[in-house]
Amino acid sequence: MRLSEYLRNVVPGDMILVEHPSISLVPRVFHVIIGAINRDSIILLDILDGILSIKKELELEGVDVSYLERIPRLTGSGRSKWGNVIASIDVHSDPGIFLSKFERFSRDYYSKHRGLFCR
Amino acid sequence: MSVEDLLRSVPEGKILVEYEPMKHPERIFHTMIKFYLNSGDVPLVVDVIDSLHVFVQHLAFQGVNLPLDKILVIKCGGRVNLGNVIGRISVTDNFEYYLAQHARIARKFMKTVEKGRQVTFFLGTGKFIMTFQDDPYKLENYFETIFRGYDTKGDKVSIFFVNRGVVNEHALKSLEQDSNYVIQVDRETRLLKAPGRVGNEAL
Repeated sequence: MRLSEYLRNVVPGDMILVEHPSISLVPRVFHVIIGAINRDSIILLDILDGILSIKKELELEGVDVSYLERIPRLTGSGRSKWGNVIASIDVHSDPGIFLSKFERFSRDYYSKHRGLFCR
Repeated sequence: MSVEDLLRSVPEGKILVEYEPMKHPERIFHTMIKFYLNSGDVPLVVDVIDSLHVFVQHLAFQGVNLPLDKILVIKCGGRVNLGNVIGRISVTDNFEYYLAQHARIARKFMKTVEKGRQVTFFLGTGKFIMTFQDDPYKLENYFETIFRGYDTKGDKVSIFFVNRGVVNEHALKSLEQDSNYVIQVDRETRLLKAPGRVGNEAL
Protein backbone atom coordinates (compact mmCIF):
# COMPACT_ATOMS: atom_id res chain seq x y z
CA MET A 1 0.00 0.00 0.00
CA ARG A 2 1.30 3.46 -0.81
CA LEU A 3 1.60 5.98 2.00
CA SER A 4 -0.82 8.39 0.33
CA GLU A 5 -3.42 5.59 0.00
CA TYR A 6 -3.03 4.73 3.67
CA LEU A 7 -3.47 8.38 4.65
CA ARG A 8 -6.82 8.52 2.86
CA ASN A 9 -8.15 6.02 5.40
CA VAL A 10 -7.10 8.04 8.41
CA VAL A 11 -10.02 9.35 10.45
CA PRO A 12 -10.19 12.15 13.03
CA GLY A 13 -8.84 10.91 16.36
CA ASP A 14 -6.20 8.70 14.78
CA MET A 15 -2.63 9.25 15.80
CA ILE A 16 0.26 8.41 13.46
CA LEU A 17 3.80 7.93 14.65
CA VAL A 18 6.53 8.24 12.03
CA GLU A 19 9.63 6.42 13.24
CA HIS A 20 12.84 7.05 11.37
CA PRO A 21 16.59 6.58 11.73
CA SER A 22 18.92 9.59 11.66
CA ILE A 23 19.73 9.08 7.99
CA SER A 24 16.40 8.74 6.24
CA LEU A 25 13.97 10.13 3.70
CA VAL A 26 11.77 11.60 6.41
CA PRO A 27 11.53 15.03 4.70
CA ARG A 28 9.89 13.32 1.75
CA VAL A 29 7.52 11.41 4.03
CA PHE A 30 6.62 14.71 5.66
CA HIS A 31 5.94 16.21 2.23
CA VAL A 32 3.69 13.28 1.23
CA ILE A 33 1.71 13.50 4.48
CA ILE A 34 1.22 17.24 4.12
CA GLY A 35 0.16 16.70 0.50
CA ALA A 36 -2.42 14.11 1.49
CA ILE A 37 -4.31 16.16 4.04
CA ASN A 38 -6.20 19.41 3.91
CA ARG A 39 -3.59 22.12 4.39
CA ASP A 40 -6.05 24.44 6.10
CA SER A 41 -6.38 22.01 8.95
CA ILE A 42 -2.73 21.71 9.90
CA ILE A 43 -0.86 23.03 12.90
CA LEU A 44 2.85 22.45 13.04
CA LEU A 45 4.16 21.87 16.53
CA ASP A 46 7.83 22.54 15.96
CA ILE A 47 10.12 21.58 18.83
CA LEU A 48 13.52 23.33 18.73
CA ASP A 49 13.31 24.29 15.04
CA GLY A 50 13.10 20.72 13.78
CA ILE A 51 11.17 21.85 10.70
CA LEU A 52 14.16 23.85 9.42
CA SER A 53 16.23 20.84 8.43
CA ILE A 54 13.21 19.24 6.76
CA LYS A 55 12.45 22.45 4.87
CA LYS A 56 16.07 22.95 3.81
CA GLU A 57 16.34 19.38 2.64
CA LEU A 58 13.19 19.61 0.52
CA GLU A 59 14.40 22.91 -0.93
CA LEU A 60 17.75 21.38 -1.85
CA GLU A 61 15.84 18.56 -3.46
CA GLY A 62 14.07 21.12 -5.62
CA VAL A 63 10.63 20.77 -4.01
CA ASP A 64 8.48 23.89 -3.76
CA VAL A 65 7.86 24.33 -0.03
CA SER A 66 6.56 27.89 -0.09
CA TYR A 67 3.27 26.57 1.34
CA LEU A 68 5.10 25.80 4.59
CA GLU A 69 5.38 29.49 5.36
CA ARG A 70 1.60 29.80 5.61
CA ILE A 71 1.00 26.83 7.89
CA PRO A 72 0.36 27.94 11.49
CA ARG A 73 3.50 27.12 13.42
CA LEU A 74 3.51 26.63 17.18
CA THR A 75 7.13 26.66 18.28
CA GLY A 76 8.50 24.82 21.28
CA SER A 77 11.48 27.09 22.04
CA GLY A 78 13.96 27.32 19.15
CA ARG A 79 15.47 30.47 17.69
CA SER A 80 13.85 30.72 14.29
CA LYS A 81 11.02 33.22 13.78
CA TRP A 82 10.46 31.90 10.28
CA GLY A 83 6.99 31.21 8.87
CA ASN A 84 3.58 31.80 10.37
CA VAL A 85 4.38 31.58 14.10
CA ILE A 86 1.13 31.70 16.05
CA ALA A 87 2.53 31.04 19.52
CA SER A 88 5.66 29.94 21.29
CA ILE A 89 5.99 27.76 24.36
CA ASP A 90 9.20 27.32 26.33
CA VAL A 91 10.18 23.65 26.41
CA HIS A 92 13.12 24.22 28.73
CA SER A 93 10.95 24.78 31.77
CA ASP A 94 9.29 21.92 33.58
CA PRO A 95 7.56 19.37 31.28
CA GLY A 96 4.39 19.82 33.35
CA ILE A 97 4.39 23.55 32.69
CA PHE A 98 4.95 22.93 28.99
CA LEU A 99 2.04 20.47 28.87
CA SER A 100 -0.37 22.73 30.71
CA LYS A 101 0.53 25.70 28.49
CA PHE A 102 0.20 23.52 25.45
CA GLU A 103 -3.15 22.21 26.59
CA ARG A 104 -4.46 25.70 27.26
CA PHE A 105 -3.27 26.85 23.85
CA SER A 106 -4.75 23.91 21.95
CA ARG A 107 -8.11 24.04 23.74
CA ASP A 108 -8.34 27.70 22.85
CA TYR A 109 -7.19 27.16 19.27
CA TYR A 110 -9.46 24.22 18.59
CA SER A 111 -12.47 26.04 19.96
CA LYS A 112 -11.94 28.38 17.00
CA HIS A 113 -10.49 25.99 14.42
CA ARG A 114 -10.88 22.37 13.51
CA GLY A 115 -7.75 20.55 12.50
CA LEU A 116 -5.11 17.97 13.11
CA PHE A 117 -1.60 17.99 14.38
CA CYS A 118 1.56 17.30 12.55
CA ARG A 119 4.90 16.50 14.19
CA MET B 1 30.97 10.40 -8.11
CA SER B 2 34.06 12.27 -6.90
CA VAL B 3 34.22 14.62 -3.92
CA GLU B 4 34.62 17.53 -6.35
CA ASP B 5 31.49 16.48 -8.27
CA LEU B 6 29.57 16.36 -5.03
CA LEU B 7 30.76 19.81 -3.91
CA ARG B 8 29.91 21.22 -7.34
CA SER B 9 26.32 20.04 -6.82
CA VAL B 10 26.01 21.56 -3.33
CA PRO B 11 24.51 25.06 -3.58
CA GLU B 12 24.26 25.55 0.18
CA GLY B 13 23.66 23.60 3.36
CA LYS B 14 25.46 21.54 5.93
CA ILE B 15 27.85 18.72 5.15
CA LEU B 16 28.82 16.31 7.90
CA VAL B 17 32.08 14.42 7.45
CA GLU B 18 32.19 11.68 10.07
CA TYR B 19 35.37 9.70 10.35
CA GLU B 20 36.80 6.80 12.27
CA PRO B 21 39.71 7.86 14.49
CA MET B 22 42.17 5.56 12.72
CA LYS B 23 41.26 6.73 9.21
CA HIS B 24 42.32 9.74 7.16
CA PRO B 25 39.83 12.61 7.15
CA GLU B 26 42.63 15.07 6.34
CA ARG B 27 42.70 13.83 2.75
CA ILE B 28 39.11 14.78 2.05
CA PHE B 29 39.71 18.05 3.93
CA HIS B 30 42.59 18.81 1.57
CA THR B 31 40.46 17.93 -1.48
CA MET B 32 37.67 20.21 -0.27
CA ILE B 33 39.98 23.14 0.53
CA LYS B 34 41.59 22.82 -2.91
CA PHE B 35 38.19 22.68 -4.60
CA TYR B 36 36.90 25.85 -2.92
CA LEU B 37 40.14 27.78 -3.47
CA ASN B 38 40.00 26.88 -7.16
CA SER B 39 36.37 28.04 -7.29
CA GLY B 40 37.39 31.46 -5.97
CA ASP B 41 35.89 31.02 -2.51
CA VAL B 42 37.74 31.88 0.69
CA PRO B 43 37.53 28.99 3.12
CA LEU B 44 37.21 29.80 6.80
CA VAL B 45 38.32 27.14 9.28
CA VAL B 46 37.00 27.06 12.83
CA ASP B 47 39.83 25.17 14.50
CA VAL B 48 38.79 23.53 17.76
CA ILE B 49 41.76 22.80 20.06
CA ASP B 50 44.40 22.52 17.33
CA SER B 51 42.57 20.04 15.10
CA LEU B 52 43.95 21.90 12.08
CA HIS B 53 47.47 21.34 13.37
CA VAL B 54 46.86 17.57 13.51
CA PHE B 55 45.38 17.55 10.00
CA VAL B 56 48.30 19.60 8.63
CA GLN B 57 50.84 17.29 10.29
CA HIS B 58 49.15 14.17 8.91
CA LEU B 59 49.13 15.70 5.45
CA ALA B 60 52.80 16.71 5.74
CA PHE B 61 53.74 13.11 6.58
CA GLN B 62 51.98 12.10 3.37
CA GLY B 63 53.96 14.72 1.45
CA VAL B 64 51.03 17.09 0.97
CA ASN B 65 51.17 20.77 1.84
CA LEU B 66 48.06 22.84 2.50
CA PRO B 67 48.12 26.41 1.14
CA LEU B 68 47.78 27.74 4.70
CA ASP B 69 48.33 31.38 3.76
CA LYS B 70 45.06 31.34 1.81
CA ILE B 71 42.99 29.91 4.65
CA LEU B 72 41.32 32.09 7.26
CA VAL B 73 41.21 30.56 10.74
CA ILE B 74 39.18 31.19 13.86
CA LYS B 75 40.92 29.52 16.79
CA CYS B 76 38.60 27.90 19.28
CA GLY B 77 40.95 27.04 22.13
CA GLY B 78 44.35 25.49 21.40
CA ARG B 79 47.78 27.04 21.10
CA VAL B 80 49.19 26.29 17.62
CA ASN B 81 48.49 29.16 15.25
CA LEU B 82 48.31 28.00 11.65
CA GLY B 83 46.87 29.77 8.63
CA ASN B 84 45.66 33.34 8.71
CA VAL B 85 44.22 33.59 12.24
CA ILE B 86 41.51 36.27 12.30
CA GLY B 87 40.20 35.70 15.81
CA ARG B 88 39.93 33.52 18.88
CA ILE B 89 37.04 32.08 20.82
CA SER B 90 37.39 30.12 24.03
CA VAL B 91 35.91 26.64 24.17
CA THR B 92 32.69 27.16 26.06
CA ASP B 93 29.31 25.66 26.72
CA ASN B 94 27.81 29.14 26.83
CA PHE B 95 26.49 28.99 23.29
CA GLU B 96 25.06 32.52 23.16
CA TYR B 97 28.51 33.85 24.05
CA TYR B 98 30.11 31.58 21.47
CA LEU B 99 27.73 32.79 18.75
CA ALA B 100 28.28 36.45 19.60
CA GLN B 101 32.06 35.99 19.43
CA HIS B 102 31.79 34.03 16.21
CA ALA B 103 29.56 36.67 14.61
CA ARG B 104 31.93 39.47 15.60
CA ILE B 105 34.89 37.72 14.00
CA ALA B 106 32.97 36.44 10.98
CA ARG B 107 31.83 39.98 10.14
CA LYS B 108 35.48 40.86 9.64
CA PHE B 109 35.81 37.78 7.47
CA MET B 110 32.80 38.76 5.35
CA LYS B 111 34.51 42.05 4.43
CA THR B 112 37.35 40.16 2.78
CA VAL B 113 34.94 38.07 0.71
CA GLU B 114 34.04 40.11 -2.34
CA LYS B 115 32.72 37.30 -4.43
CA GLY B 116 32.19 33.61 -3.93
CA ARG B 117 30.35 31.85 -1.19
CA GLN B 118 31.06 31.64 2.47
CA VAL B 119 32.46 28.20 3.14
CA THR B 120 33.09 27.36 6.77
CA PHE B 121 34.93 24.27 7.96
CA PHE B 122 34.53 23.13 11.56
CA LEU B 123 37.41 20.91 12.54
CA GLY B 124 37.07 19.08 15.84
CA THR B 125 33.28 19.27 16.18
CA GLY B 126 33.58 16.21 18.40
CA LYS B 127 36.00 17.93 20.77
CA PHE B 128 33.63 20.85 21.05
CA ILE B 129 30.64 18.62 21.85
CA MET B 130 32.53 16.14 24.04
CA THR B 131 32.58 18.31 27.17
CA PHE B 132 28.79 18.59 27.45
CA GLN B 133 27.47 15.65 25.42
CA ASP B 134 26.40 13.66 28.47
CA ASP B 135 24.06 16.44 29.54
CA PRO B 136 21.01 16.02 27.26
CA TYR B 137 19.80 19.51 28.04
CA LYS B 138 23.11 21.11 27.04
CA LEU B 139 23.38 18.93 23.97
CA GLU B 140 19.92 19.93 22.69
CA ASN B 141 20.77 23.51 23.50
CA TYR B 142 23.86 23.20 21.30
CA PHE B 143 21.77 21.95 18.38
CA GLU B 144 19.17 24.63 18.94
CA THR B 145 21.59 27.52 19.25
CA ILE B 146 24.49 26.64 17.01
CA PHE B 147 23.96 23.67 14.72
CA ARG B 148 20.44 24.32 13.46
CA GLY B 149 21.15 28.03 13.33
CA TYR B 150 23.02 27.42 10.10
CA ASP B 151 19.79 26.44 8.37
CA THR B 152 18.43 29.93 8.35
CA LYS B 153 21.35 31.53 6.56
CA GLY B 154 21.08 30.90 2.83
CA ASP B 155 23.85 30.60 0.27
CA LYS B 156 26.39 29.26 2.75
CA VAL B 157 28.14 25.95 2.95
CA SER B 158 29.15 24.65 6.38
CA ILE B 159 31.25 21.52 6.67
CA PHE B 160 31.54 19.76 10.01
CA PHE B 161 34.26 17.20 10.70
CA VAL B 162 33.41 14.88 13.55
CA ASN B 163 35.39 12.00 15.01
CA ARG B 164 32.89 9.18 15.52
CA GLY B 165 35.06 7.78 18.30
CA VAL B 166 34.67 10.71 20.66
CA VAL B 167 30.98 11.62 20.43
CA ASN B 168 28.21 9.53 21.87
CA GLU B 169 25.42 7.88 19.90
CA HIS B 170 22.84 10.56 20.64
CA ALA B 171 25.11 13.40 19.52
CA LEU B 172 26.18 11.60 16.35
CA LYS B 173 22.63 10.69 15.33
CA SER B 174 21.47 14.26 15.88
CA LEU B 175 24.34 15.56 13.78
CA GLU B 176 23.46 13.11 11.01
CA GLN B 177 19.79 13.95 11.06
CA ASP B 178 20.28 17.71 10.90
CA SER B 179 22.92 17.64 8.16
CA ASN B 180 21.90 17.86 4.53
CA TYR B 181 24.81 15.74 3.35
CA VAL B 182 26.58 13.01 5.30
CA ILE B 183 29.97 11.66 4.22
CA GLN B 184 31.59 8.77 6.05
CA VAL B 185 35.36 8.33 6.01
CA ASP B 186 36.20 4.77 6.89
CA ARG B 187 38.27 2.33 4.82
CA GLU B 188 36.60 4.08 1.90
CA THR B 189 34.88 7.44 1.62
CA ARG B 190 31.14 7.13 1.10
CA LEU B 191 28.18 9.42 0.65
CA LEU B 192 25.46 8.24 3.03
CA LYS B 193 22.97 11.01 2.59
CA ALA B 194 22.12 13.81 0.18
CA PRO B 195 18.81 15.68 -0.25
CA GLY B 196 16.23 13.17 -1.43
CA ARG B 197 18.76 10.34 -1.41
CA VAL B 198 19.89 7.85 1.16
CA GLY B 199 22.55 5.40 0.15
CA ASN B 200 26.09 4.23 0.33
CA GLU B 201 27.79 5.63 -2.73
CA ALA B 202 31.58 5.60 -3.02
CA LEU B 203 33.20 9.02 -3.40
